[in-house]
Amino acid sequence: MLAYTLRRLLQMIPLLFFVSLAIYTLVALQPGDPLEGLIFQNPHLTQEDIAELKHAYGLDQPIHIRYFKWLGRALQGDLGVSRTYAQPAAEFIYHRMQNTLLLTGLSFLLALLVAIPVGVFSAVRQYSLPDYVVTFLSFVGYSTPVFWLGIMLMLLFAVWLPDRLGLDHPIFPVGGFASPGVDPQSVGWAAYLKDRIWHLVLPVFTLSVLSMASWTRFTRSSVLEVLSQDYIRTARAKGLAERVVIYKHALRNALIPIVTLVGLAIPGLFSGAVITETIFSWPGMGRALFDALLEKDYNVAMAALVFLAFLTALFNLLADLAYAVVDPRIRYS
Amino acid sequence: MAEAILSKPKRESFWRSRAWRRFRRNPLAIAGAVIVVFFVLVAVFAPALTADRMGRNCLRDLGLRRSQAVKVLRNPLSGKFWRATLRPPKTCYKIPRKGYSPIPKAPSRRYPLGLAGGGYDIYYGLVWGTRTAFYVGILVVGIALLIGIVIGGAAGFLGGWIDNLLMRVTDVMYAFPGLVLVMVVVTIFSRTLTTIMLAIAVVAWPTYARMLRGNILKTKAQDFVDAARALGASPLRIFLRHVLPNSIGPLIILASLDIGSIVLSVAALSFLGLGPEVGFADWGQMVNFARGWIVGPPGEPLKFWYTWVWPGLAIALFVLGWNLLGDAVRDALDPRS
Repeated sequence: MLAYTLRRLLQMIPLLFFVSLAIYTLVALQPGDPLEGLIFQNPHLTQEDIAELKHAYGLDQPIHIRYFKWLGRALQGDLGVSRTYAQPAAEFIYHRMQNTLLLTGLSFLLALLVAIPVGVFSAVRQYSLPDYVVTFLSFVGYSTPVFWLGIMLMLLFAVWLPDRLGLDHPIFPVGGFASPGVDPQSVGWAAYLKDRIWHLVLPVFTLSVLSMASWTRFTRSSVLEVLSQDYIRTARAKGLAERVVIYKHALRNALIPIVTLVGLAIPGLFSGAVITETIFSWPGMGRALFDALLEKDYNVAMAALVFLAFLTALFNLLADLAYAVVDPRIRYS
Repeated sequence: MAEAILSKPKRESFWRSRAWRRFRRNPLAIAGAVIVVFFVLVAVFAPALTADRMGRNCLRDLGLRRSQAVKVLRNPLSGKFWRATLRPPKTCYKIPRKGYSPIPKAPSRRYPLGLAGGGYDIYYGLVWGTRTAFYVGILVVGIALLIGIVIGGAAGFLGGWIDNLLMRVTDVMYAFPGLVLVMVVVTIFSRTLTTIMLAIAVVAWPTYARMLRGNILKTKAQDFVDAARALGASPLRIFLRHVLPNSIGPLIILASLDIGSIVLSVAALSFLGLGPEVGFADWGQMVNFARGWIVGPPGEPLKFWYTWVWPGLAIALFVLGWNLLGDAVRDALDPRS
């Protein structure tokens, strides 16, 4: 097991090398370069100035040289500076990732808290009316376009309901992640916290609908599969109460594949949710990545994507190891 | 006696198979099938459904005068009906505009679903957008399947270091956040429908490759493959005649049911401003048209509801139909249930 883990960790090195090379090439292949905006804004720049600027930024060199220079610096822990935001790329990504994790983490928790009980309930009463209702609703949940749902909710809570109820402020705000001027020093912690939560409600709900739907489906089928096993029949034949059969024998086994999938879904929480973030103007990773790519902010894009690739590889490995821990039949060598 | 051995085993009829019976009894499956069939009909009969509101260029390319259009395009005995249904000119996918006013216009008798900002006819856009949805979905699944079959087939059948290398490549593909990769590819190359479709296919193939590889490993271990080899069949022949046909069936069925989710991705891209060119009949683009008109003037916040309700509903219903159908087929084919 230890040897297997070490081998997988070593395999990650070439994997990350190729991932970073591929991303660098893709980003560098984009038409134009990061100086275009600067040149456009300043008509006084001469050709010599432009050449000098390009030289200063190292943009006059071929892609592979630039890549290896980036790699050399990155290996020493220097991920460069964001051109758009004028701060170290690592610092910028760290801040954005905190915002994103607050949003994605909360909606992931909400989704699981709703989906697992509902999925179990639906499976235990397979082919009953409540089961069909749950199944149908979860299908509607993951067929609805996220951007459309977000807009609908905004309209409902920020425009239509306040209008109907004669309120002069929205029930939930349409976007952003805190009201301007509200900080712990001026209004106190309790009011600050309340304001933050108030801003989180709509984006968290929007984002959780889709995953809630798919986790419900998944829990349902996982429980159904376990319920058809022989040991469940044995437990029932022994005369155990149905409650004990379901919660002690079935549920624990049904949760094994769910735990694995939860592990595999965690890296996705870091990559953010570009669409939800865009609708609710939430300053998170998804949006940062999108903007960095569009504005050719190479350092930010590279740092973020390579970090995400690393997380994905790491959590894949952890999921495989967790599988071996919960299921003694699996052996790695 | 010899005859009895040589005769092929009788094939079970589809209509009496367990899978079909299970499918038929599932009300959600029926609902999904009804929705998908409805969209197929709308897509096929798009020219007849919109004959009274075709754009000038579309009519010109069909060689029709406006006064004849309704009569000819709704008559299945006319040649033009078949031409417009089977091979409509590209200009027919452009949504015709009634005026150029940036303000949307409420539904009327002439324009039952209203006009989006810029005078675009919402009804026309939705009907022809159905064709775009099928076209995009089918093509993307096709391309992704092709890549998946080549890579998964080579990895599973050849094994060894080729398998190892190809599977590491798929791992790399998995490591990228999918939507971001699509966005990168679309911004680097061009924002045309073709690029978008290729980009989504490039992200979608690894799932198919992995699945096919797994199926091939199972098929390869069966006796008839050894028998074919003993008879002296070449590896290529074994692969194409024996291994692939016996491994690919479920993959094709399951992949074809991904058409719905692909339409969802394309709509999301359109929403982010990375969609096909302006005016092309595409549902995502129609939601994009509505972006500036979500909230009405003070006092009437829902004044422009028709601009965003219809296209959103079309996308949701289309995807819902495919998801219901796909899940039911998966269930019916699952030997464990």
